[in-house]
Amino acid sequence: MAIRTRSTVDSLVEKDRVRRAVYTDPSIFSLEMERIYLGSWISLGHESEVPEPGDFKTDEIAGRPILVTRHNDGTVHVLLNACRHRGATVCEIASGNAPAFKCPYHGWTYRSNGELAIVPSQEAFGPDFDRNEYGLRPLPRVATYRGFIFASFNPDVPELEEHLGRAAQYIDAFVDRAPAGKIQVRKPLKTEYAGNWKLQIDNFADGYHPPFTHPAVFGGPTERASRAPTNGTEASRRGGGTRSFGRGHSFSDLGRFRASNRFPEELSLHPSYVSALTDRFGPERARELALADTYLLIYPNLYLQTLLSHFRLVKPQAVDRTHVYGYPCDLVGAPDVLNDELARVTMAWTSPGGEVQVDDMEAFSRVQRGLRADPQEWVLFTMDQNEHVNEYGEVEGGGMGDSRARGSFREWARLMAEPS
Amino acid sequence: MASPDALQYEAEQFLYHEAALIDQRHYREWLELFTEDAVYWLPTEEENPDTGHPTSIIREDREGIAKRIKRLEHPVTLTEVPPRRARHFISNVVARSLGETEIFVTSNQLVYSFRLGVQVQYPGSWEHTLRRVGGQLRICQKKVYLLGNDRALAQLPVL
Ligand code: FES
Ligand SMILES: [Fe+2]
Repeated sequence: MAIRTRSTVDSLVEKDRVRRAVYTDPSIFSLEMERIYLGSWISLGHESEVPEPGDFKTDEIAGRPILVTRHNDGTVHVLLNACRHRGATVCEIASGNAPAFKCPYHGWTYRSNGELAIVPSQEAFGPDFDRNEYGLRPLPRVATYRGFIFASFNPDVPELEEHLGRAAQYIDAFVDRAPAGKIQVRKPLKTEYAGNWKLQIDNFADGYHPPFTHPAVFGGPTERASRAPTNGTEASRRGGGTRSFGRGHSFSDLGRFRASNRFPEELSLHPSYVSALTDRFGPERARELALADTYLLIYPNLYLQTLLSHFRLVKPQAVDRTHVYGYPCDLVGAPDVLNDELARVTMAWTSPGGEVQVDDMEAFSRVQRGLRADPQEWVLFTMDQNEHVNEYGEVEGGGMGDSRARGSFREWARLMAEPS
Repeated sequence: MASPDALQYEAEQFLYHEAALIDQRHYREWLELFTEDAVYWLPTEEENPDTGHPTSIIREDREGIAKRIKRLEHPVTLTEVPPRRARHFISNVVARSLGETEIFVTSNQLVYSFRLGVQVQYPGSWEHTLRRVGGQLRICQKKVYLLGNDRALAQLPVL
């Protein structure tokens, strides 16, 4: 299916339902990679993955190999992992520390800021050859927010802070939960499922599925009565509910309803932790941060789960194959007993040997198979239509999260439509 | 202390017994093989990650293993209906005594896992620390280094 016009996009996505082909058609997937993953800001994790000079990690966006480095001067660089000579990748190690990157093919050697330092037999390239012209290419746009690294292949994206908008305050909350005002990530847990990347994105906002998909962990539907507010007006009055910020970003706040079911409150409120937070923020905000149970999606590929202090990156591999990396984040300055338990619970949730993500992945592969039955049929996001627009133009909703999914698909449609 | 041949035989028989319990999904009997202070560990790195704050695919105590089994046996756990079928193949077993009561056993294992028309292989190095408790061998530490344990993985069978 060729999407070349706004009207083709409109035939695929309506305000509360989406054609199943959007999840199964390889040509739509290719266009998503071009327009969304190469066209918008993409999260590449957190700079505490490369804390020291010479630290690096390899990554990718839409199948394009990338190198994230920390240079001697402390700056973070996001470079194409491709030699400027004949194109070999210059590094194939997941993460580590290296003084330089030497291409395995003919030995061109690059500094951690990308500069080309050594060209064996350089004189054979002639007198006009200038090493300065052949450094590893940086991505056109790179920026960080509270240590989170974002990059874009599109030179024309707006400034990162404009892109994040008011969603940024919940990234602040995620990081401010650390008494030292910064997080330190641990190594990620990596999962793969046989389904489209958007199944994971939809699931991040899906408060409907847990009792059915995760009965052994969260209790079945009869064991669990949802006490979340059911509409946007009630949600904003009671302080819970969902919000769509625009640009596909959204969040849910379950804090007042379920936080203690998800993580032991006596640990969330560990006395030395709360007192360290109180020193910085005062008692009220300290308690609010310690018990914050918010779930933030930064479209299209970053998800932050505040109470369990982890974030996840979604990495599309093919129309029906996706990787998800889960990063436990230590709250720097918090007691070890709290950080170790946060990491332990994050492992149980996000690991391929765990008890939560494995069930979601099973659901995703079943959905992916079922969607092939009829590509013209609709996927429904029709629950909880009682929404309202707040003073900032954000859509507030309640209930199970379809309001958030509708917000993400508004951004999908905006990015996928032919730039006019 | 047992002779080297007897030790080797005992270690091999123990690994076969444990693998059979897992493959037959006799998970509660499998749990009984672990000591009270047991650790069951699947690291995400190829080398021994004893230092620092390793992230692990699995790192749990006996209580964690019991919880894992409760999930596996729950009647509507998505990943177990229909059930996964698996077979462990065990080779290269090397056993050596650790003092009076413990045996350290390394083996190469290859687990074939089959479910919903898809068969996946999980090869790797297994390390068991076994302890003699009341005349029976029990597992006080089980470490599994899967080949490719730092890659993105689909849901794992019990290894
Ligand atoms: S391809 Fe890298 S040096 Fe030739
Ligand atoms: Fe889930």
